[in-house]
Amino acid sequence: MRIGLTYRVTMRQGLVLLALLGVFIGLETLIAPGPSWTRSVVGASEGVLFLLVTLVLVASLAQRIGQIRTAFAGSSRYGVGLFHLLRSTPHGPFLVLHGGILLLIVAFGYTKSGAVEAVMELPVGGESRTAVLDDGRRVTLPFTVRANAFDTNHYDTGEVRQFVGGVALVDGDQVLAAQALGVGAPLDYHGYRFSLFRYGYRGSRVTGSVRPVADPARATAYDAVVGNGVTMSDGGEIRLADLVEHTTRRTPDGDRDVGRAVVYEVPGRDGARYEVMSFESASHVVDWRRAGVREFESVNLLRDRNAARALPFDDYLTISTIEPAKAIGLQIRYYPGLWFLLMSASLVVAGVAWMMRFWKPPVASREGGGNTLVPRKTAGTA
Amino acid sequence: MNHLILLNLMEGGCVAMAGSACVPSLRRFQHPLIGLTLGLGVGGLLLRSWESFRLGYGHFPSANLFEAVALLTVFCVALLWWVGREAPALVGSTALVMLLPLAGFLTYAEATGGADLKPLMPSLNSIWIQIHVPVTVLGYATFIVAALASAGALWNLRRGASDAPYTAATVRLLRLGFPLFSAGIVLGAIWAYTVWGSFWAWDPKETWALITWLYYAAAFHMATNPRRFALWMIAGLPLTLFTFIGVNYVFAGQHHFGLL
Repeated sequence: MRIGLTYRVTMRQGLVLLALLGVFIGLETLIAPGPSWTRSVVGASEGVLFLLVTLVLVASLAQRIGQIRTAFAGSSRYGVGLFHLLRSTPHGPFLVLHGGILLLIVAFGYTKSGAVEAVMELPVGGESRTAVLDDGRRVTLPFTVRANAFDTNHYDTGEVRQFVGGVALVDGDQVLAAQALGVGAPLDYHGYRFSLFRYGYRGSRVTGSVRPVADPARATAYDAVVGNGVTMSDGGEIRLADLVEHTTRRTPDGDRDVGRAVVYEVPGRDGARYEVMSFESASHVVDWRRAGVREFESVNLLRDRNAARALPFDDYLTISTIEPAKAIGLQIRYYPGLWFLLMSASLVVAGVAWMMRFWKPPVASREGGGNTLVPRKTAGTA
Repeated sequence: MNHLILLNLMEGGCVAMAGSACVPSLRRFQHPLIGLTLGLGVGGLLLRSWESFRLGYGHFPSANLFEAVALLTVFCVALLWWVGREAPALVGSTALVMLLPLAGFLTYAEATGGADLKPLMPSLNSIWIQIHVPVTVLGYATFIVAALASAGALWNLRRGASDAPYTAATVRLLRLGFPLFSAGIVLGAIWAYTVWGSFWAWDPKETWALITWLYYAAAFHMATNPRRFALWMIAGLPLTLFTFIGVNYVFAGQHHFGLL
């Protein structure tokens, strides 16, 4: 390879670089709990070695292509020439293998650079179009993901055979795709792959009623998971923000065991949002505060009607049940160069198999510096 | 547990192979013994598969460490059948150095309940486990037997004898094992993409498999010097064993189920 000067790549250089790269990758796994500067040093060394291996691969390919340029001379078409080259010259396996490795490096870089690697956790019945990237940033998907169901299949002996999570991709009212996901049975849609990777109970499902403060008798049933919202008939939304545990709490009725409470956000008449806490065992009592304010104020909605009417919001929740909610975790992947990656990896394997030709007896070739491992006609410098 | 009877007999065959290496007059029985041991091992694995299907679990033995070690043992014996005639001392050395400990490990696993047939967890309940694991384990087996063949070559070189049969055996094994191991890594990546949505997660097993691949790729770049090549192949044995079995114990990762 000519880079201002003539440079000849040797097998020994390839060997040393491969061995060093292996050593540093091994070091990286061994020093994982160590101080951060060691990881930086090893990471930087890996990067440099990886670059050098790539350069040596390019140089050795260029070197080899220079040697076999004459193989193209007799062919009328490039494609036929390449086929002839691969079939009939000793350089074919070398080209396929080393070219495959180079393509794999390029494919890996291309795929990683445009990839979306994110996770999303959805309670059954919940939906979202926001996923969390591996580095913690959030990404908005071009569609909404809805978790419809979750179940488990069992062996006769009782062990779990498969987790099944029903997932639908929706855009407005239109269902784009729907499938029962299992572990190893992902949903593919327009290059996105949704894999079920976590399953079990996450968060709480709350059932109860939404009641106007001014007329508590008018109840609308609701069923929602903490973290999600309840859309009201007037288009507003009450969002269940949190589930908190209380044992004894001072209320307008005195100290009492109030059990668990749901904190929800509700729009106020003044346009601000309010945080309200409804208690499981005393749901006619609410604590409320303007979002961001520290102290809650308590009102017994049934006993103190004047105070209730003075509340700055129109609706409040009463709680019937609080139960653990089933949830599924989705791994979301979008790899733009997927086929490129697969083809180049296949090329590497094919190149290795072709170069090794294990179905033929080995030809030892000590004299002349040939490679003893491969049939003599494929031997040569790297 | 009929399959365990056959696997126990296979372990006995491994012991007999080691014994035949120590008694010169028994060496003429080595190859039939390899054939018998291989037949018992293959029979044991097939019977275990059948029992697994009968219980409704339905998988070829490749799901836990016991099954992987049993596979490794059978593959090592099969490789001895393949190259053992050309390099007779390889049979004894492999039996003494590898097959005896592997047989001991299998016996220990049986005694501690590690050999019990269990249903597959969902992530393993896939056709890919029956492709990826045997292909990769066969790759490991070739590296192990090749290392021991290299030890024979080095021994002969030190004595001034011909290393040709052992180097040829090493070459044949490596030329079989390296493509298989490469394919095993790629197949594992495809399986991981199916199960976890990610081809490569730098899981410790993946990382050490890559290191092993790089190591044996380097071996091909140094094959011009028989002594150096033999030393390199011998030094690859602990690396291969660590990648195959040690990683599961040292690091937590996606392959952590591969424990007793």
